Amino acid sequence: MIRKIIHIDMDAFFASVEQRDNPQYRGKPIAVGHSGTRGVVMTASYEARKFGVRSAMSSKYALKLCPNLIFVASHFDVYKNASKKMKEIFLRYTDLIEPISIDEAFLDVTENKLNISSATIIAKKIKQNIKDELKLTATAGVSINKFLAKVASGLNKPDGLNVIKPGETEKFIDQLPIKKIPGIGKVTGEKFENLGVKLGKDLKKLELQFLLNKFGKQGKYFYNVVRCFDNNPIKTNRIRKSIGAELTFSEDIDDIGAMLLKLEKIAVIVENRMNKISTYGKTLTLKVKYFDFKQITRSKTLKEEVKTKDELFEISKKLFFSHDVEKRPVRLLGIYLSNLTGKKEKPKILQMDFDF
Amino acid sequence: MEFNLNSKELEKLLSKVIPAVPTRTPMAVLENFLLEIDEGTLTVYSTDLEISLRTSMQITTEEKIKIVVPAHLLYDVVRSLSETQIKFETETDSKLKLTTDNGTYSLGYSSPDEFPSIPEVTTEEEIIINGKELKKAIDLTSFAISKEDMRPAMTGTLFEFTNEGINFVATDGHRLVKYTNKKINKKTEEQFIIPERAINVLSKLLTEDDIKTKFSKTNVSFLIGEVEFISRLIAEKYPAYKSVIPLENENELKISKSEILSTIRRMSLFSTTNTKQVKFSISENSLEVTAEDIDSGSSAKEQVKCEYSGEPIEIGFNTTYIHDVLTHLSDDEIVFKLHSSTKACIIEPTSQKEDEELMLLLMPVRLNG
Repeated sequence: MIRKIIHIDMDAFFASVEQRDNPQYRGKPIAVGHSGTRGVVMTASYEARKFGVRSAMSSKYALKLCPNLIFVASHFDVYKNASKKMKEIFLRYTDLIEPISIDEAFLDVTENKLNISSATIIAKKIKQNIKDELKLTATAGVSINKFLAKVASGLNKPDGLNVIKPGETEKFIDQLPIKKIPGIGKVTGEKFENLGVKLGKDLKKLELQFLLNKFGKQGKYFYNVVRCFDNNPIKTNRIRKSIGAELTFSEDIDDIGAMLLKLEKIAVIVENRMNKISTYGKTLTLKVKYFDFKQITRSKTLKEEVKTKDELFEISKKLFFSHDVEKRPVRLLGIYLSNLTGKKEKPKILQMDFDF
Repeated sequence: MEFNLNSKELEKLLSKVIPAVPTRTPMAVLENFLLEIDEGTLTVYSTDLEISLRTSMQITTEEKIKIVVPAHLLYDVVRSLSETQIKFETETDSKLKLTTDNGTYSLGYSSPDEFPSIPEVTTEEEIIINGKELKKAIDLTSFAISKEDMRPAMTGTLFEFTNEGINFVATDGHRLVKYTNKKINKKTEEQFIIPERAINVLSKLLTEDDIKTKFSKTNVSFLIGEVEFISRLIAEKYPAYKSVIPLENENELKISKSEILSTIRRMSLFSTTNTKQVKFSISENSLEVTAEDIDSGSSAKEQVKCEYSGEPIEIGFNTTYIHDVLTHLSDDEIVFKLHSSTKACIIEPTSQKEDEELMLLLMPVRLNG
């Protein structure tokens, strides 16, 4: 059976909420985030985006692009509340909701509570509900799977509604610039460009083995999406997948010793977070962002859950010193634990150890 | 390029190098073999950056080529063929074509540029080790290698060259094995730690023939017939293991290995899953072994024949650990050398073989109550 999937993406969510609640910001270029020299833009209003200001951009650079940019402090409780109300709206139509983040969700409306056969009509209604009740705008993408619905919503924002109908999917993918495919960023995009791949139809010509050789596991994903092999169901109970913490430094750190001290500090934060919810993980990921914003992650999976700050620190240190981690000035370090397991009875340790 | 090969010969060749091909790697290129043909020799390389394998065979062709091909795909198709001739051809569109009586198989290949270079061990000193003896050393020690990464040095086997031969040592912090072979010697006293993965692969490659071994500061190379196996060494200091081998364990419990092993097997059915504890109550010529599972209320007790003249001792062991230790002793007459309930216990064969020495060390479980 052909599924009907809607992807709802709020437009410049944090910035729109601030503009809604503070009339003086309306129609002006604003950025939610910190204006300091090391701050980053979390969300920029559409007025600011005209100047090229984007999420995750450094505040310093954003100001260069848009000298009149107004920085606004974030209000997460307000955003969370708005997100909750969004979900309440979705629930009027379907229970099959997969939240992706605070401002984005997939809905499966193949069968829905109001027995509306057109997913496009449902998407219109949801957009109208959000406008009436939250005074915010959203963009919706409608299609036969999650991948296409997401690509569709990305086509014209804000306040857009795009539908890729079942009969049009192939034609749509053939003409789709591959950079619009989620997962293809700058680096992968360039790799494809070098291979002469610009549109979906070019990508379709590549064989699976070739893509696997070139891109590893991701190659299979690329192979599948252009053929519409995306039957991933809507995952309603997205559970916590990781615990962690990261620190962005007020100045780039170029001293290895200082980096280790920061890692130790992060390990303490992560330990506290783990203990708070009695959840521990077996896979540790070290995240390093260099001064030039190049970011890498290195992971290690252990037999037992990592529980203490000492273990966190030791393993992160080991990952940090592995030969393929460049030792260059860093602006951010982070430690994450995934592969989580909940609280367990801990057997009393009676086995004695050698003393060396 | 074109040449012919017998499928079984090629299968044999590839089976030697497939162990170094990683199954999960962020570097997709490592999932390939590097095939090199030069001067009538086909050489196949594989590496996971920790271990590398190389082997070669003579073929009839004048060509010169260097390509990387998907390792598992090539190996799997070759070994699923019954004995036949395979014709290899490279086609212009980066395809390696294999033709047999059954049909044709086309494999995408790519350039070797991204394939990492294989380390070389250029040290002059070559140590000849008999394959059978090395295999024995590995079989005796590798079970005790630590599976935890907290102490990287312990995740490998120590090869310790001394004036009196070589000591193979492995430990996970709870148990330790030291096996000495006095016939294997090196000019200088040195220590090397070989990672567990390398030990496992090496164990499968060894035959009864002599192998040529070379150590550098960072790598070790084993030449086993036509196969060269290179492994990175663990660049850490091995724990000062000698300091934990007790010298004053004067209480000797002589016992039959097969008897105590079968007792332990029964006890393990009764010991609590959490602690896996088994208790030895030892007094003059008497050994009582007990286990209980407090959760389910079941328990077991056995008397085991022994010779003992020391002080009475009660000592607990983890059933899995003591089971592992016992199964690695080949002699039936063994001795437990004890000090007290909280000190390490030495377990050895009563008499050592000529030119060999085996010692196992086990930390007890603290008895509660």
